[in-house]
Amino acid sequence: MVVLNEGLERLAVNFASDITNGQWGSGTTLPTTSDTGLETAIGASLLAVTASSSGTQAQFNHEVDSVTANGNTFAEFELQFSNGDSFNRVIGGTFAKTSSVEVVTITTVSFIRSS
Amino acid sequence: MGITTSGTDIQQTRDEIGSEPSVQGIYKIKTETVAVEEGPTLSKSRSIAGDVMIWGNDDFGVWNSSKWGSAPDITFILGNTLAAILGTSKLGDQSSEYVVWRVTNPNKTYHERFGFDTFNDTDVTTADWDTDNQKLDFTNAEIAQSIQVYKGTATITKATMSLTGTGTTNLALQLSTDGSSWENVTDGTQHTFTTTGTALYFKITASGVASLTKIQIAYQ
Repeated sequence: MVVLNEGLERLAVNFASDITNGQWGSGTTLPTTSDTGLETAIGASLLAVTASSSGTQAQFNHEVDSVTANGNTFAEFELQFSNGDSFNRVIGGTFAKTSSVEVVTITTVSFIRSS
Repeated sequence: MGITTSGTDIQQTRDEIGSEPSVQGIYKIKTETVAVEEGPTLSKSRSIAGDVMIWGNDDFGVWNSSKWGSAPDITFILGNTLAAILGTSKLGDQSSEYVVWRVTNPNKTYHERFGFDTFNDTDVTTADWDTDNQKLDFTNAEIAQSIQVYKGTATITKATMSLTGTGTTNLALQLSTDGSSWENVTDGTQHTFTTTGTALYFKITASGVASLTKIQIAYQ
């Protein structure tokens, strides 16, 4: 019995269709597995992602254009399922969003065999 | 034959089946685990500041003030044979290049599995970054170089680069914290940087044939 490459690839395809949105927040508290979403979500940045899969990986592009979410500080980011549940929460350096910039965020997720 | 019709039939059926075997089958269960690996999250920004017109933007869409383009041979200038190439020329000035401002990796470990070329520095890489087959193939003298695989506020002082694949002894590995000062590293051995910084790049140079299915870089 073995999990096939084809099976892992199907998981990636399905996952790419399950994740629909991404969102920025201004919270800076380090993430924990019991988090249920962003600490301080920035509502205007809740936008649909462009999803794709390649082999055993799925990738999500989230774009905030120049007229959206200005005056906010981007600090935490999450991917969301279509029902609003969060998949992950990422903390890192902060970014002051203004009308002079567009921000693109790319997240990659892999399905692997783990021994 | 109906086995419930009489005791004789039941006994006959038992005889036909025979006694239980003295050797019993032993089944071993091999556990397989499929994991979801959260990969890097890269954020980049593009400045639209300047004097080029951006339709619908309050600051850069000012009629009779903003320009359609200002950089010869780079921005799109209608009617110009060198600067009016659809799919190549840009609407905007040179400042409109994306700049990576953050790359975050779970557990301070970057995993590259080649399904996407997000981190491939295509201006430098000559090796075959094969997203269809999720591998990175080298022939002699070919190079693979990344953009930032980490970018943040923490200073990187140490890192361990590990390869999975074939022909890895044909590969010379280098890491950099600024994209210009490259330091030699050994596969699977922790390296302490001479030049520290808040970013991380990798570079691989081949002296023969090799093929990688994974690159892992743990840093601190």
